[in-house]
Amino acid sequence: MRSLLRPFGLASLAAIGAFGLGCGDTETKTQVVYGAYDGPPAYPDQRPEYALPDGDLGVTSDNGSDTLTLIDLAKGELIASVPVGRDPVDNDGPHHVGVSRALGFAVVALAYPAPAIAAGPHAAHSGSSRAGYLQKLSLSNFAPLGDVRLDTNPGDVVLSTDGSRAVVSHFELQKAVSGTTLEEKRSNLVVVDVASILPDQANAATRILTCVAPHGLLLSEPDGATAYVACYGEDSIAIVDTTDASVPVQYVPVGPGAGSPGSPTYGPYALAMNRARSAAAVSSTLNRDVRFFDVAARAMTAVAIPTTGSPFFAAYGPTDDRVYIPTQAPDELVVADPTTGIVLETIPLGPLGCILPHEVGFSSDDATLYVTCEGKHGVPPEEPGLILALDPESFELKTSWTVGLYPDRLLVLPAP
Amino acid sequence: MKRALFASITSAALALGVSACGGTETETVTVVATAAEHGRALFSDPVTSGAPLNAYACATCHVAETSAADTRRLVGAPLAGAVSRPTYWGGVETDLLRSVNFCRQYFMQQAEPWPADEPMAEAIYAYLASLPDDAPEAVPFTIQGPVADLPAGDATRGASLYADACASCHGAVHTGSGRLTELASLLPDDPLEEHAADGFDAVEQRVAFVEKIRHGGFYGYGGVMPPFSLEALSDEELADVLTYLSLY
Repeated sequence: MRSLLRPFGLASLAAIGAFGLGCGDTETKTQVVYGAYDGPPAYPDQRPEYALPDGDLGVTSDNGSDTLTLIDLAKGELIASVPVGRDPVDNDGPHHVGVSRALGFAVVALAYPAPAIAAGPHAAHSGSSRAGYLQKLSLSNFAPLGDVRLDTNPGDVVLSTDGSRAVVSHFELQKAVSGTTLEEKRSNLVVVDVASILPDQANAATRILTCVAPHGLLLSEPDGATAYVACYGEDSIAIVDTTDASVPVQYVPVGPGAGSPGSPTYGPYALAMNRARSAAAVSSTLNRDVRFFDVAARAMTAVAIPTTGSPFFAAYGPTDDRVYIPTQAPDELVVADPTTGIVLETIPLGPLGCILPHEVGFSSDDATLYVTCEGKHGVPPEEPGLILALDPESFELKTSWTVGLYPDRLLVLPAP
Repeated sequence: MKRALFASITSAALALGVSACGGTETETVTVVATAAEHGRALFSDPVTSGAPLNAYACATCHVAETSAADTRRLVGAPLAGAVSRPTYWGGVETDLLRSVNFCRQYFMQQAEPWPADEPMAEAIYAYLASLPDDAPEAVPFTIQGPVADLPAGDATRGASLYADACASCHGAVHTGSGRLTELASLLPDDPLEEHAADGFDAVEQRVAFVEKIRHGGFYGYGGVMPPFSLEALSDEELADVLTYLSLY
């Protein structure tokens, strides 16, 4: 019998009895031998198993509520709101998510914010920087499968289409401002071999110093050997060999008159690849325009689409002849021709209940255009985010789902 | 429901020895107890942490079962039914062992998590599983984000609340008499010294108390104090405590 020998405390001993303390008397001592636990396995995993749909699965990362929201997009039903993170109280800030349905896992970047929590003397406590984590989760029940320590302020995370590699950018604006040299201003891409992530251990990752305040990411297919990075603080697109950190990063300015590192003019923030994978839309939030990166030429084209609001994560239409651009302030959906730069339609999203549209994407059959709306966040009272499902031709609202606080992405994942 | 400590002692053995004075005989009685009884003993024993400076046991923050006679305001949920709850920590965690390890990490200063088959972890599980399972629903645990000053409350109610919510760790006001550990702050003296009047006005001093009580060691504050949820202590009750501490 496996046992632990541990006497009870003095009170318990007294209760059993100690008789007489003088010579000639008998003193009784009690020791307790505990039997080993012989029941069913302790702490069984009682997480619910989620029945994932045969059709498109939608997954949002909800920064403000530390959840992923799962949606059966074809049926129009919310499946679950799943808690994620490593900290039971602080805001873990799940910021962007990657999922492999074929391999049965999700990766989410935990981007611990610097929240202005305290109104009083301890506001400075919350200003400290905190390293993020890339957390790997089982797709069946979202049990943690391990994590990788990142740098502070993870920006975007993208999983290669074969599920082998995850790449994380770091939107380090403080470094961009406080660094005195270009190298000090620049931040890393973290490249992770996802299969190597194991539970209960410090998992390794490769760091590649990339550019100033890198954010939006695209990866080559199928294994993400090349990353295209929107360098917000450097007004450029960085092209990074994720297989070899020693290969120099190549930089392509997003337009003429680029600002100095740390003082950008354009502020390229988000990228979207076209269906042919020949071009990427580059959304610059400071200059408020969308420009286009020619993948083969590794150069920008001459086309620019000015937007009234700040453009975020766009999407190409089924035949690459339309690009759908969500903008903030005003909250609109701009539809434009990416070859001519002509704006074809502008749809106000406020009347549809959308606050701060962040990303758009299509259903796998291209019959529905989804808009991820951040909602009201940061200042109480907060309001949850919203996913709009629109007809991509008429832009009529088909349906919508209320998700967690501050969603930033809806991944649309057909069944493998 | 109370349980006798040795209700299920399964065997006992007797051994005789002789004490140092030559004439005293020592009887050693060995009793065999179950893993659940082991867990019950561990429930009140800081040894579950293994960290040398830890003074917390599970029972510092949790009761096994609620009782009308127990007026304490504990930060943790009652543990009866815990093995069947769908979520813990106010819904942010779905796994019991991770929830236990959060307590050990954040409050009991033990960064090394228990695996499920660690003998003490198994004993605690056996004890939890032995408790009545009639409250398996999740227990609300709402942590306030931004904090602010509170209007003055009632000092008399505050005295009672202090006794029920604060004294078990911090002891009596000013003296700390009866406090759990020498490391626990004397209230209100230590925090006021840390936030002295030459640097903080009265409102800021109060907000410092509110922040610590609401956030504990989280949100970058540090330390091992658990946070009081809105369910454990309402804002009105918190204001009563602050008033009792003469912070207005």
